[in-house]
Amino acid sequence: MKFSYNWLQSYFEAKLPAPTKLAEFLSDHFANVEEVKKNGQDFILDIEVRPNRAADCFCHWGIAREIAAILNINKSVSGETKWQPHPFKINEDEQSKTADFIKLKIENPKDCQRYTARIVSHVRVGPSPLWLKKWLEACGLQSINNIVDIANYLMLAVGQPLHAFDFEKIAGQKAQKTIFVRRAKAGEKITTLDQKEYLLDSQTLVIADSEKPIGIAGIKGELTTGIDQKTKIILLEAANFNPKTIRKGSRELNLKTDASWRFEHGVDPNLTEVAVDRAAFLIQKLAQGKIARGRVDFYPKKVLPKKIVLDLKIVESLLGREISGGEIIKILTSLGLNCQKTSKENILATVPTWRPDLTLAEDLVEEIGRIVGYYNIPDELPRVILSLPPVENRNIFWEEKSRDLWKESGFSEVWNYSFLRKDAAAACGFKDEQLVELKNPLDQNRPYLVGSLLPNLFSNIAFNSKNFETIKIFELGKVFFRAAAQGMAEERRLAAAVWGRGQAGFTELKGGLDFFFKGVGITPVYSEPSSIYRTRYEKVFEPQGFFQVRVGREIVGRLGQAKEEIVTALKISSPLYALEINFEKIFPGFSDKKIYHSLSKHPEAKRDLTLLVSEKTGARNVSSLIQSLKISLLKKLELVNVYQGEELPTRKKSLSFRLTFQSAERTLSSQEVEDVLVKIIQKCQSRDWLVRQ
Amino acid sequence: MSEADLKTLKNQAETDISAAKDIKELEAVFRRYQKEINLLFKRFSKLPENQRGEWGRAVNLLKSFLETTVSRKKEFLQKAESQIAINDFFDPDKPGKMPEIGHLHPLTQTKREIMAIFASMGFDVALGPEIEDEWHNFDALNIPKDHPARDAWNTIWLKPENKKLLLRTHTSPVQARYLMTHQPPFRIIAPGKVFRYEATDASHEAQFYQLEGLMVDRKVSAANFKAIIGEFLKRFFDKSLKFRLRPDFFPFTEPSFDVAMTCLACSGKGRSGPKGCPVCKRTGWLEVAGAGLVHPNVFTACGLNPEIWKGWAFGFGWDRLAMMKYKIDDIRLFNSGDLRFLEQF
Repeated sequence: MKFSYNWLQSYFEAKLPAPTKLAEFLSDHFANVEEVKKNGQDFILDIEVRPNRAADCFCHWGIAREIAAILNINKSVSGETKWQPHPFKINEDEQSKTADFIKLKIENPKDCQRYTARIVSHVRVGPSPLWLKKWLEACGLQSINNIVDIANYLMLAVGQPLHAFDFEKIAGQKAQKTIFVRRAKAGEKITTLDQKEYLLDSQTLVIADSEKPIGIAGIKGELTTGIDQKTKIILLEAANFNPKTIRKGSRELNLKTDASWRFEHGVDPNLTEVAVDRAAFLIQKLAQGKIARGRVDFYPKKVLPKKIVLDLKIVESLLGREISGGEIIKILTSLGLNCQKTSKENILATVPTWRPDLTLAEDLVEEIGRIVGYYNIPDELPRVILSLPPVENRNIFWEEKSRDLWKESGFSEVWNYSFLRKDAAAACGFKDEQLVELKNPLDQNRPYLVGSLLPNLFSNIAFNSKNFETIKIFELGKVFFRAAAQGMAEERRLAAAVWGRGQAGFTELKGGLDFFFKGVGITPVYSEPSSIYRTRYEKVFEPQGFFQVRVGREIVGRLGQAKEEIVTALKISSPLYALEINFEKIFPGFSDKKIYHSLSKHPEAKRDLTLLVSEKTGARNVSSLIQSLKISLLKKLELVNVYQGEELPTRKKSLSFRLTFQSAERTLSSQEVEDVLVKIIQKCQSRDWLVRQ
Repeated sequence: MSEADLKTLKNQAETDISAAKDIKELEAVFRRYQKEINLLFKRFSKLPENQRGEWGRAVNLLKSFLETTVSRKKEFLQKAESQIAINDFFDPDKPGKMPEIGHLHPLTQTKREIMAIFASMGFDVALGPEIEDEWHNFDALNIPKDHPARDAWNTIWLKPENKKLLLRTHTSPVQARYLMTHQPPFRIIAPGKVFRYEATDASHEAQFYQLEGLMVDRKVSAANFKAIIGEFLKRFFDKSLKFRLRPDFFPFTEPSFDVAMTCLACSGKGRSGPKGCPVCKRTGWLEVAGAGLVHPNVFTACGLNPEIWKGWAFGFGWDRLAMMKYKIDDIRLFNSGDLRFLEQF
């Protein structure tokens, strides 16, 4: 919020520090000053007043109070120690009485806890004096006429929004008119000062005369009862509205004003009389006029100052610096609090009503801390009882380990947005009811949270294909979906993709996956999905080009070749291989245990075995059959070659395995090896697999 | 063939051998003369008995001459060739064969660094959900409903509205969850992804990354916080770095601080140069974290007695720390998946 340096200076007899210096003081002790800008003879300070200080510091008076406390100036321009800047004496007209002009009818004191009004007659509406114009403009407000400017000036000076009505335009009897504060009736309309029409309902509080609304309470004035050049009698309103009511109304109408902003944050209800009197005084001074005697004031329940007991010990224990009782009292007094020492350890602080943010002892500790200055608080390492060092968080450990494993396989890590495009969701086979939908998405084309990491990973490939010929990437992140019981669920997934390496890409992806599983101590099984699943449910992978990954009995993910449609839509060349694994499902089985196998002193014997099998037979069919023989001498079984060619019978391929035999106790004789091999060959032949020599 | 012929052959062979430029050529020469010598041996049988001894000795002499000359020459050539090979091999201007490696995201790398620094100071790591409920994200943190203070967190809400679920706007709900389930004293940090309903540009993101810290014990002060955060910033960035605390406001802390540190772009000079430093807007300082002593209402909401337990908490954009560390000028790069960016780390 913008503040005028000259305006602030006007509250002090003493010369204030230079603008940038003053800004430093405010930033160190109150709130950050974003900018200091020269404005003619004046300077504008843009102070980031925090919302807890809105009640007292959205005005120059409040900032002046802060400056006085920070700089320890205990005298205002008035010479009074109690804050009452710019003293004035109101000159009332004995002939007329405000109460004879108006009567108040407040529908619900919860919406409006105070309504104070004054009448000023015989005014001359005209331009404002130059000083007033300048100060308003410095704060970003346009000068309109002397009456409206005075109302705005007071809002900026003391923080109380005011409104001026042309009394003669208000409907009602000539002598005494009734001002209503009530909820709008459904269908009521109002045209505001800026000539915009609003349709109202009971969410909105209005000021009304006997016929119609004449103002949106606390938000904006109405057109037909506004001040114009002919206005003679003014009704000045200074009210205090419920912050929640104003906030709701302002949101409902999508109308934010300087007044609504202040009311939303809360305004001191004891301010209205000061504001309305000062406004009347200034109107008399600048636009002549006679001030009718007395005020009309609806204030059924006066708000009284709160009291807080402060234990002096907690000041030191929370701030970590010794501060004497005398200093504490001095600081709190400088901020307008009344302090009484009730015992050696305790102070009873009476908090002025303009500081609703101060309710707890901790709040007072903050006041003391910031006025002392946090730069005056030492750095001091905590003294704690030695507890055991933190146990490594396994979740974090394995996430990071997994990332390392993929990186070692040559994959680069990406982090994507958690938002999913509508078309990508459809292309990947998600139904609306499975995905988590955003109420207010940033981009209407991305209304969902990701249900799979793959669509965004595919977009990464398409994007990078402009700059790279081959791409290997992975991501470890969360996906979200709707779950029946808790409503929404999230789980970690691991996804990887390889593009640009032709068919070898699959081997690289599979190699990455093998390396990863080995690194986390898990042995997966790959299985073929059912044909119904392949053709009906699988939308990402080619029906004949993917496998399910199982750990134990559970399906934990899948890997394969992305569908032609997907690749075409990405405008990249085929093939694209990818995988996605449910990290939550595999994570519990992770293990970094390593057990040493003693090195055998006896040599290994290697034999090759080549089988002619049907093209549909997988290597894993062969290896699981051989392994089912449970031959203890067989140490290793590796697939070394897969071959399909013209010289082979149609629909056949050859699989070559290397078998390693070894015994821990003795050197194997060739007869022993041959015997075992024969057993294996016989088993293979039982499956119609032809052993080739 | 006379002895003179043998002499000519010998001279010829000597010339050819010395002319051979490399081992391949030399071997061809050698094979050619071997053939010649074999032919000479074959003629042996046709000679009269008395001439055979003489002839045999002469041809054998030629043969051994050929072998030694070739082998000497071969040794010479091998030496020369390996010298060339060594010179070639040890050329420092020739690029080595780089391994094909992957890259970890810069935020993964900075997260690890931050976790390691705090772990060394006894901080555990806590995690929490990214979909949060209103209570943990706001109410528990003393951010009342229908209060303008909530406007500071532009929230992305989920459908259906009546569930009041949202994407967490900060990592602070992890604090609330941890306070509710753990017995103090403790020290934790909580890194995570957060979301705001905000237009994106080079310095603003709708999806960004925060890191929260929390210490709870019987006696914990602002002075303790200063010591820990200062130590962290110095270890993460630079030993000579300066930092400062200024007043701020957060509903969940009282008192609240704004933590700023020396601007790394201008080394805290701020106004130097014709236009001053654009990174810190000429102040020489960069705001890095919000912090404060845990508000008693937060302890109460989470079932702990604020009379007994005191604490402090802080939160910073860990993506912003990474930007400062690596001089990254566009926050959107983190979520871009652009390998030209990622492969630099």
